[in-house]
Amino acid sequence: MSWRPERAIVPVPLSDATPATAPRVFPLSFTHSANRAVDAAPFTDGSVRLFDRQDLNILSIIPTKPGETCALGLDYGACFSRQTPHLLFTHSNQNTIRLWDTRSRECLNVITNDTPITCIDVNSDDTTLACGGEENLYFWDLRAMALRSCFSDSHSDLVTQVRFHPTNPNQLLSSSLDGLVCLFDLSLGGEDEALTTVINAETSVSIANFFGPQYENVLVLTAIETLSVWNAEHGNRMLDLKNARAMIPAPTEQGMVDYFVDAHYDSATQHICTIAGTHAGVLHIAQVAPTGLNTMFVLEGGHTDTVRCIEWDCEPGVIMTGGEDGKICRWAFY
Amino acid sequence: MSKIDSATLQQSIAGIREAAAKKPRKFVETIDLQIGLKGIDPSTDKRFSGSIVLPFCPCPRRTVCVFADAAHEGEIKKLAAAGTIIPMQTVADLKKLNKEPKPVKKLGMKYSMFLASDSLFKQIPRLLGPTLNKMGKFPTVVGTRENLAQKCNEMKSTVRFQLKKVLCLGVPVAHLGMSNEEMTKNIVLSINFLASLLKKGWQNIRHVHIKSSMGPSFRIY
Repeated sequence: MSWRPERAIVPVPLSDATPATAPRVFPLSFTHSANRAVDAAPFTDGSVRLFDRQDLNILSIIPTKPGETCALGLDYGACFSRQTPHLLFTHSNQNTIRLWDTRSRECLNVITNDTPITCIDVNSDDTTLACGGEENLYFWDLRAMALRSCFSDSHSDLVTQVRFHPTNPNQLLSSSLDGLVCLFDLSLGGEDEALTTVINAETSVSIANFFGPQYENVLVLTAIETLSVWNAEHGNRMLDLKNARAMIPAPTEQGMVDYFVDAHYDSATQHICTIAGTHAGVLHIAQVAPTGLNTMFVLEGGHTDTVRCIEWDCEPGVIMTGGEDGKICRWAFY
Repeated sequence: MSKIDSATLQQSIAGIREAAAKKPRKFVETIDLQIGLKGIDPSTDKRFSGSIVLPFCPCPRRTVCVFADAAHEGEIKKLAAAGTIIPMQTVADLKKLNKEPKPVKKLGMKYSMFLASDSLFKQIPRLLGPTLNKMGKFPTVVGTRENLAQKCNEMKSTVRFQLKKVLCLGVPVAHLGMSNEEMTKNIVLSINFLASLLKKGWQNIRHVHIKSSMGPSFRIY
């Protein structure tokens, strides 16, 4: 019994987006719709591809910057509405956020921010859209489609992620290259009041997310491949793995995994799993324990290059991965 | 593992020393590591940014101030009696600042970095507001059981690197007051660490130079 790639697709690059020197086209992240039937993946060619979760059929392709088909890079992405399955927000590394109806592929609304945006998220009751920028955080009221507030003091470098709490619409975390993860309670007022906890990871943060039975903890992965676990309320560090890569043996030149893709929280078993990869496309799934990382299983045979993103849904047990080889794979347990 | 030729490195260090001896400056020159990369697209590849803790402190003039609780206050007083002075601020001192941006900023300007006792850590955003975040000086947490002097040293020995839109980056790794051996260790450790984070390791490195603040640069790879 093992996990095997069940289905894989290589989405065809947009025809007019592939000059001779075209950069490679691959997915950067996954986001799923409110009813978990459809997944959206922003690609490096500046499009967002929507596909059916069951058979990976491409349903539609949405350009994040209509009329322009240049490579946009890391700083763009997509986020589904939390309550309406067919509403999708996309942002480019320019100043605009677009709201799309995924059924008709129509752009319903355009929000223009005054500075470039690097990441977005929508809160659990669909009232607020948070955007991270080069130093600032912006909050848009989605009912009035108006800028509600801008927090300019909390970070001193590019914001890598904004994430709302899965159930509390007022709680938000933001992570930045300056090494800080800030937690806000937006119901408390302006920036000075709303900033409740600051976590200092001491080095550039690439991924931060809520986890735990009540989502009361925060897991932080840094750009130098360290892993730490913090309590969101008190800001105290519960676990710090400075040498996290060395805890997962892999058959590479260095004898360990090369990097971390993401982390996943399994609410049924209350385990945190990290997904670590090698640049040859093999993924090692390891459970985070107080003493370190214990490898649980390996995903191999699906990718031939660095895997960049993973979507892991416990109910009904779906794992999807996207890699720099341009492939999207769905895995099944045989 | 390392692809740095130790003979070239020693020659370069000697060259830097010679240039510095020819024209002495009124400060201790820092030695920077300058790295050119290749085969990397900063717009789509994983972010290349972070920090390295070096075995020997490259910036000895950095100052660390501790936001201390009662236990750490005692430890700092003991250290001060033994001759190691670590500046500190107690909760009472921080409360006096009244969360006003100006005094907090003044405090932030006075020191290069901050540490905070873990029991106090949670209160800091409440006490000081987001001003220190903006300055990039938000304190690092230090546990009661950790050795305070050692933690301060580790903080002083941490250097940051970040790849932005161009394919080169510079990191301060040493200074002229160090012995050749200390320099070598710092330089080799930094390059090896950076190479381990790159997708193709050494194949992503185009060239490496070392250079003192005012002197010429020497190619070591």
